[in-house]
Amino acid sequence: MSNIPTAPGNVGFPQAYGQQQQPYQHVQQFTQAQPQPFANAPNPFPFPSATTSNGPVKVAPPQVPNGGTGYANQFPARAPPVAAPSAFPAPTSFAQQPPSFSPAPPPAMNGQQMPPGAPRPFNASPAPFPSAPTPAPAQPPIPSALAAARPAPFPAPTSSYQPQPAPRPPVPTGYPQQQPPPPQQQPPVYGQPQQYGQPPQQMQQMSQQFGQMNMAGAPGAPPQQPSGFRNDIVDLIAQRDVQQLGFEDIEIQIPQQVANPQAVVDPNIFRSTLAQVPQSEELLKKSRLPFAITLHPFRDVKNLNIIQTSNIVRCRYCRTYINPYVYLPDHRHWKCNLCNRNNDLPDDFCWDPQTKAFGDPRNRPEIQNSTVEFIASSDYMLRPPQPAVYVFILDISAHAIQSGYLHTFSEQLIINLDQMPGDDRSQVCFIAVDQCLHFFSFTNAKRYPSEMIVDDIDDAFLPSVTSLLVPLKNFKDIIRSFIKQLPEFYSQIGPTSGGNCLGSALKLAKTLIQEIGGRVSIFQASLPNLGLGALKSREESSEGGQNLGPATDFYKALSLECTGQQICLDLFMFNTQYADLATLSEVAKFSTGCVYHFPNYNYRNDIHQVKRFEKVFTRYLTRKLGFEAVLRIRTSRGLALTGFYGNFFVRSPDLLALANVNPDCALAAQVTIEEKLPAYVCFQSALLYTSSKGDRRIRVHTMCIPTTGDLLQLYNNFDLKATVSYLAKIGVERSMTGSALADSREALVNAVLDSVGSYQKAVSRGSGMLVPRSGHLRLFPSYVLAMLKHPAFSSSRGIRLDDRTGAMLMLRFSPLDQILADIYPRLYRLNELATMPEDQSPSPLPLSFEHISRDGVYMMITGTMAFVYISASADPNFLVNVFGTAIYNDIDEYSLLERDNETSRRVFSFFKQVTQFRFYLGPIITIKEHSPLRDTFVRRLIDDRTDSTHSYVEFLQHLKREISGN
Amino acid sequence: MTFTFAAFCYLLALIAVGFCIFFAIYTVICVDELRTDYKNPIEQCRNLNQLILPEYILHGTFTLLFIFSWQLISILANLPLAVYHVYTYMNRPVMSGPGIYDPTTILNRSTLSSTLRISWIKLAFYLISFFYYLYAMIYTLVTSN
Repeated sequence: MSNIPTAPGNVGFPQAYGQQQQPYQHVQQFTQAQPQPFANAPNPFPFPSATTSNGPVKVAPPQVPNGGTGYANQFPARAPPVAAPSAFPAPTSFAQQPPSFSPAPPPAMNGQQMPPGAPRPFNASPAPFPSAPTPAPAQPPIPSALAAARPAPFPAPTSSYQPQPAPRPPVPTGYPQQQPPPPQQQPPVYGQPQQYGQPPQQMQQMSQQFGQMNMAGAPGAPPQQPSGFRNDIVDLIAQRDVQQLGFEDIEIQIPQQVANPQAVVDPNIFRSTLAQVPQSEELLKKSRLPFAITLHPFRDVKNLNIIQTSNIVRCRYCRTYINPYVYLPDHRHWKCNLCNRNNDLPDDFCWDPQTKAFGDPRNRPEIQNSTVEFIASSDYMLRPPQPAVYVFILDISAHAIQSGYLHTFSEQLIINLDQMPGDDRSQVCFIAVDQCLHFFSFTNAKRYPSEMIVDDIDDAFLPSVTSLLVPLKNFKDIIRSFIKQLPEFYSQIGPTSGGNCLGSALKLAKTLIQEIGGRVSIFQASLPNLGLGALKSREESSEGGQNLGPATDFYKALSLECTGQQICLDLFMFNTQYADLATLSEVAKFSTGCVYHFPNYNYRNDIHQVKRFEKVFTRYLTRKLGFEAVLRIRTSRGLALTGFYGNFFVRSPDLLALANVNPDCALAAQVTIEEKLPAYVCFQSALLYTSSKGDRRIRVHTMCIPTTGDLLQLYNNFDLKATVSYLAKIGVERSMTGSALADSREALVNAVLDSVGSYQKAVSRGSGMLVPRSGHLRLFPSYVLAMLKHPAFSSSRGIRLDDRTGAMLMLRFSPLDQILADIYPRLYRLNELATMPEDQSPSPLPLSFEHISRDGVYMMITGTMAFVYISASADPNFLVNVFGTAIYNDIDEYSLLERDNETSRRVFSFFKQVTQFRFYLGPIITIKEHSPLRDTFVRRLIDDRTDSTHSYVEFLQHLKREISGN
Repeated sequence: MTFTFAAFCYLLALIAVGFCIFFAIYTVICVDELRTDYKNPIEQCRNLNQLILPEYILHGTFTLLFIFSWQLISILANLPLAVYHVYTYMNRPVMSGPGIYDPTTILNRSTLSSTLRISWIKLAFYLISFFYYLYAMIYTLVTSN
């Protein structure tokens, strides 16, 4: 990994350009559409050599208002280099409030920004908005300073490079993009008035903001009151409708001095619990907010920019990849945003494929996008890229045959066999497990495989070396018919189906593919009780322990060995009886595996589970896959990642080893502040992996977050979505490594107590549950309550150990949206869909039965299930349209079909819309008010009290008592 | 001047603590390597875990010898560490081999720094006790007759 880009000499460009012809790819191919074979890959590069995966070069996306020279007007406030934080206005100036902006700022907005796509109709009066926070193009033009700060068009004389360019905008203080806090929260020291911006620009900025904001414009929210002093603070106990104020993502304000302030990383990929980072550790401690990041490194991305270049530009010192948040003083240099050191920019980086000339490096996709993917050269390979290898280990013991999962397995595998990622080199192997090991030897593409049974499971060996793992391409037909007959073949309980020797099978599977690496999918329905790693049932432990940790380290040791050999182990669990998921899941935990739990799976009785398995398994087989991956997360100086939570192996303090990487696993990492921070900080994750097509790629995500010295800003920029994901993962980790479940529960309650309590202290108001109206803190108590009621953390004794473990494991590796939906399901009233305008959709309701009316039809989306709940006196018109009958009694679970009418279509398109990225959601379950399933639905209404748990209001009272008690 | 049992204990403890010092230095180096270099934590933990039981046994042995020879100061100094050793070993992560270090958790910043701190403290403790045992052995030899 040492391709340090050597800077080309300061020679004439045409010559220099000519000299740089690289053996297999040149950056010139940004524009030229001739496919170039990738040197080390066995396949030709699958993309037509352009920079983007979908079609033509996407170097200057149209949404960027100006490429080329016009940017000068766009980024006038580009500031001096980042390395000189002292040259910047002091942090205090962030809080300066331009008086010309806000005669009467609506405090409800609190300077918050919401994403542009937010569904809130903006209808407030054009009251002036307090801040000028958007990275909007409308900035005060500062022509003279700009001319000096901007280099001349390429080729620029190197003398124009000024590491510390003195000319700065005549604005004396403050970057206009920083958010001034609402006036009442403003410490007096920040209050110097400041003049900038002329009225027309104000208007422009405002309209920008209005386009982006949505804060208090939520349907249920009171209109903005310009003069209310306390309106930005709500008392949770007094105001019950905090849910209605919206739960939109906080927009991160990226400082203007970076190379491309328009680039924002998808918050679903990369996210911090604090959208403004405290400048010092003391401030963070004072706020008592958790500080962590969540990362979904391999999430499916539309319009991913794939860059094939001879020369991946990286920082010479810290190996950071060039990204939109570097500082570009001129066309020849760049300053790394992580280590603040200067680097040379290679000449070919300025090649603009659109104009076919050397131009502005800002037009490069690396600068334009915060998420890019590089095709890596052979420098990034330790060995030739591996082929896709799939091993299936199937449980065929008595329990497994009873559950009948093999039927769905075989059906879906046949359908998806061609869609599995991989090229012509893909290989497969099947191993069946009961009391013995069953191998299937494919010797001839025409002959049905012979079954080889190994019964010496303690000292098992591979019965054949060559015929077990076979190329999928050559044997496709026979594999297909083999899979087809598999459920038939093992439909009877045979003489050997009494036990399960999974451990031995895993050991042999590892031996079989350890030279290559790959993916082992384990299908289990019973407790492995024989051979290596045999387990005993310990559901009812005599010591009263919780048994969430492993019983033996066999599976963990195996998993670590597999990670070293680039083998990933995924676990599908179909058990009816206890199967010690806590121990078995160790195979997945450290090898980047996933665990999917289908409790009480039965192919005859439980159609929902079967459908869910179908869906999950299809997604599992067809999703993208990256092999032999490593993930490195770099941070700005002064920050450190101190703990990682998720399924992977921590190889060194900032490097995670991932045997396989799939688009459905995510991680969280705790962050600590070690030094005083500059005006903004960055995180960069670089995932180096082998794609299923056999080339080596690097996917780079970079996140930039401003810092703040203002305590109250921290609370406004508290991001609950990332926090919930982080708290869930850390709670699971602790519970599974020995801490008592009660400790995790207490830690969750303490997290909300600390943050709300210290906010109370910060605003020094009376008692109550005071939280900022904007931002996410007001929803923290309800999410913590929901977590306490989630099966993973619930104190209820009714939850079976395996179900609890399964819920925990799901939280452990799942991405943010999955976790959020599972913890706090979304409840929608569908009736409105019939009358609403086309572009609107129902907003989520609080999860309380008081919002379930007798005439409504509701949809609830959890992490794994979707329900439609029909009240007894629901509107017959709606029922006819959606369920095909007006009579409530006639509706059964098969009634919900997409029908040929407007309402039905809208219901289904709405369902698709809200479940867009939920690949692990079961089918829609129809529940009537009187059906026995009603309980499943009502149980998820978590704001209500049950026999053993608090209601939301009780929980708030409890928190209030605790806070005032301290 | 006779070679008493106490003097014999100190002599043995001197040798044993010499080994312990070596173990402690090795642990400090290994943990520091983990933090700064790209050493494989699996191998590093395997190396470290091999030394855990020998160290505990050595330390336990000479603590016992001190009890038998009733060297009060040495007993008081060593008992807390012996108790700590027993406690750590009882609460170690689930693993089949000997040892207390788990490669999957050792790279957590808090685990790493506490491991490092503990091994520094132990190193200091063993060094001090080394010189004390030397002194005490000579003292016992000189004063006994």
